[in-house]
Amino acid sequence: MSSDRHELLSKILEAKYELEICEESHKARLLANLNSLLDKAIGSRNLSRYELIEALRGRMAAYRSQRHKQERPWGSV
Amino acid sequence: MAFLEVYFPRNQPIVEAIKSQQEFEYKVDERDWSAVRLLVEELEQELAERRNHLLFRITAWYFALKVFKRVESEKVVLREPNERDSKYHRAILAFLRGCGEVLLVELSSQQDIDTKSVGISFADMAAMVEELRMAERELYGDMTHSRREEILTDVFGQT
Repeated sequence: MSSDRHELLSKILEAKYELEICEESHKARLLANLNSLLDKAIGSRNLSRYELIEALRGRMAAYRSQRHKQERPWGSV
Repeated sequence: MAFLEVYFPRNQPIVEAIKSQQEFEYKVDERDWSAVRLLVEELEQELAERRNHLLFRITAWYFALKVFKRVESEKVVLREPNERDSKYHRAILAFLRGCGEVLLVELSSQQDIDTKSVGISFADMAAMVEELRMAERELYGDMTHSRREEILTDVFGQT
């Protein structure tokens, strides 16, 4: 994977996670950011944002788990 | 709607009341889906009967979503969900997404109502509904593993 594409994948995972945990007043702004990154990744492919999100299921789960461990190293509750 | 009235004193702005509930710490245990279900049942009745003002229904949806997110975090995000958790999660996620869509449609047709008076902009509420759509696809879409890998390889190269 080229470094550019790796960086884009990392940005998408981070943007999705930030959208999930943000305050409600930031939802529209962070969703716009995520959609912009998804569109950039999709380019001219015949692929929807939802399909790409679904394809990222495993990567997203791993990223969430990693962030939770970093942010809540003492446990889940 | 007695259950919600307990948490939304009538002389207190509703969103402030919700925010104050962050101090309402309860232990997360096996009964948590029951709490979400109770809120969802109340919300379902509200939407069906349209007894209260649209802003009240939006606030009820918002509060149910907040409780759902909290239970979701503990039961689905932070650990591998068991079959029961997945079933409840999938069903309630779909319900809240559907309710959110209905409320957005109602809001769109009533331009004299500004959701900012309950602390949520229309754009942020629409984004919350879109986030629920994405979550449904991400977690419960029926794309095969091989198709997912094919897409990731095409878009990002060898991952």
